[in-house]
This record gives sequence, structure tokens and C-alpha cells, in this order.
Amino acid sequence: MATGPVVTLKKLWRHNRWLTLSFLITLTLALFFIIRASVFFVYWQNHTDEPIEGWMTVRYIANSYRVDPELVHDAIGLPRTGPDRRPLIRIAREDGRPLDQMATTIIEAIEADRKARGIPNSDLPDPVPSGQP
Amino acid sequence: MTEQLLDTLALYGIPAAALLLAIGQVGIPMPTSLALLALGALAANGDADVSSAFIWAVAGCTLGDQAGYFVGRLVMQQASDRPGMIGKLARRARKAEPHLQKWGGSGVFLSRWLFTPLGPPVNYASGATRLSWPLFTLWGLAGETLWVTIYIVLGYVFGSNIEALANVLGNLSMALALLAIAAFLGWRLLHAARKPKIKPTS
Repeated sequence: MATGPVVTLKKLWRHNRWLTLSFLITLTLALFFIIRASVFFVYWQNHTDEPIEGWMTVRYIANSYRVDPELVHDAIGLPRTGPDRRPLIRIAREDGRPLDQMATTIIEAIEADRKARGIPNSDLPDPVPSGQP
Repeated sequence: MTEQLLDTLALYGIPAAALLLAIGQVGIPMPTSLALLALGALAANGDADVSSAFIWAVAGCTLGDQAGYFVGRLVMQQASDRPGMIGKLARRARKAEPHLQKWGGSGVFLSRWLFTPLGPPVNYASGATRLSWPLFTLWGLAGETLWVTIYIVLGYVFGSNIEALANVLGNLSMALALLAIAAFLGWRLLHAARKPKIKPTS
């Protein structure tokens, strides 16, 4: 009986066409998703500043942009009664303020802070531990 | 779409996230891993209670798993004495029962946390093939606990840019699931290559 990969493949193709095809398609798709995962991984590594969304809290945003939570807290004019644990969307609902406007104000405050410190984005220090308001 | 869903979760809290996980486990595409990562990240910043998030999340997943299992079981029960394709399928499923009692448990377990895209189909298949309910529930619970723990911990540790991380993990688990299927198909091919004359399918 002849052996070797080519012969085996030919035989498989003749007798088990569907099985061989689905095997190859599955492998190709797996490769596709591995490549996609790698692309997102590289993106994830290079983008730490996450666009502000309604589900984020003050301290989450501060963590993402590596600034003092107080900076974000003050930017949207929250009262100084300790840390606010609400997501932005709830602050927006409960205090009757548009979300976009709050996001813009926060970004402006962060940009001003970065400019004032004159530190390039990549060299920003770690955020202040979140336990201290 | 994802953003609006997350905003809704933020408004209604952890029980809403549990409901989302249940729906995701039934097989409707939902940003389930993103929701878990976000819970972990919020907990890391002291804005969410990690233990209640954990309990709600496992409960939500288990609810979805059970729903899938019982739908699969009920449909096959109704179909097994019917003629036609569905009946044939049901009788074939019944034939697979002994295999499933042997391998079903680890299949359920692994599809909870490692090959997550296979989770919902495995639920239906487990019900359809009448995998024993305690076995399904026990392995399911163990797997879901592991899955929820992994994602909450990842969210907790990385804490920022969760959406990009969810994209990485989503694609990775899809690749893993496909590789698992490819491994199974490859194994069948190897089998077929060794004895090609027995099964000349066309």
C-alpha cells in the first residue's frame, strides 16, 4: 500500500470529501480568529485611554486616563462628599445633565491636566490609590 | 448597540447583568464577557461589590444553561416518536446516550469556560441526548464558576480599556472553539485514513 502525505490526502479527498473540507474550513476560520485576536491585542496594548461611556464611573475613568479621581470628580462638579460610585449615566439621569456634555468636560480637564504637567502621554504616573478620595 | 446595553446595565445594576448573562447562555449574542470584565474593573475601583456580582453572575449563567437543557430535552421528547427528519434525529440522539454519559460531563465543563462559543449548543445537545441532569448541573455550575471567576479577575487586574480586552478574548475563545472542532474532525479523519475502505462516503 502506498503511503506518504499526498497519497493519504488524495485518498481522504476521494472517500471523505465533506469531512476533509469541513476540517480545512474549520482550521482556516480558527486561523482567521487567531489573527483577529492578535490585532486586537496590539490595539489593546497601545490604547489605554478608553473613550468615555455612560457605564463608567468616576474612578474607572480616572484609572483609564491615569489621573487623580478627584480631577474627574471635580470636572463634572460633583459635591465633595466622598467618592461617587454611580456610573455616569446614573449621574446624568439623577442630576439631569446631558452625558455628552459631562464626557466633554472630563476630557477637557484631563487634557488641561496633562498639559499643565507637561508629561508626554506615555510617561504619566500611576493613578492615586482609589481608597483615598 | 453594545454601548447602549452596557448603559442599561449600569442603570439597573447587577441583576440586569445576570439577566444578560442568562440570555447570552441561551445562544443570543450578548456582550457577556464584556459585562463580566466591566464588573471586575468597577470592583477594582471600589465601585461594585465583587461578591454579589459573582453570585448574581453564576446564577444568571446557570439559569440560561438550565433553560437550554430543558428546551432540548422537551423538544426531543416530543419528537422521538414522530416520523420524518426530526424523529430520525431524535432517535439518533438517543443512540448517542451512552457516549454522552461518559464524555458529556467534561464537554459541558469545558464549553462553559474554555470553548465558550460552544456553550449554548452543548446545552441544547445535552438536553436532547438526555445527559443526566445532576451531571449536567454539577459540571455546568463548576464551569460557569470558573468562567465568571476568570473574567471578573481579568477585569479586576487590567481595570481599564475593557472593551478592547473583550475583543481580544472574544476572538481568542472563538479560535479555541474552532480548534476544538478541528481537532475532533482531524481525529475522525485520522480514523478514516487508517481504514478507508470501510466507509466510502461520497
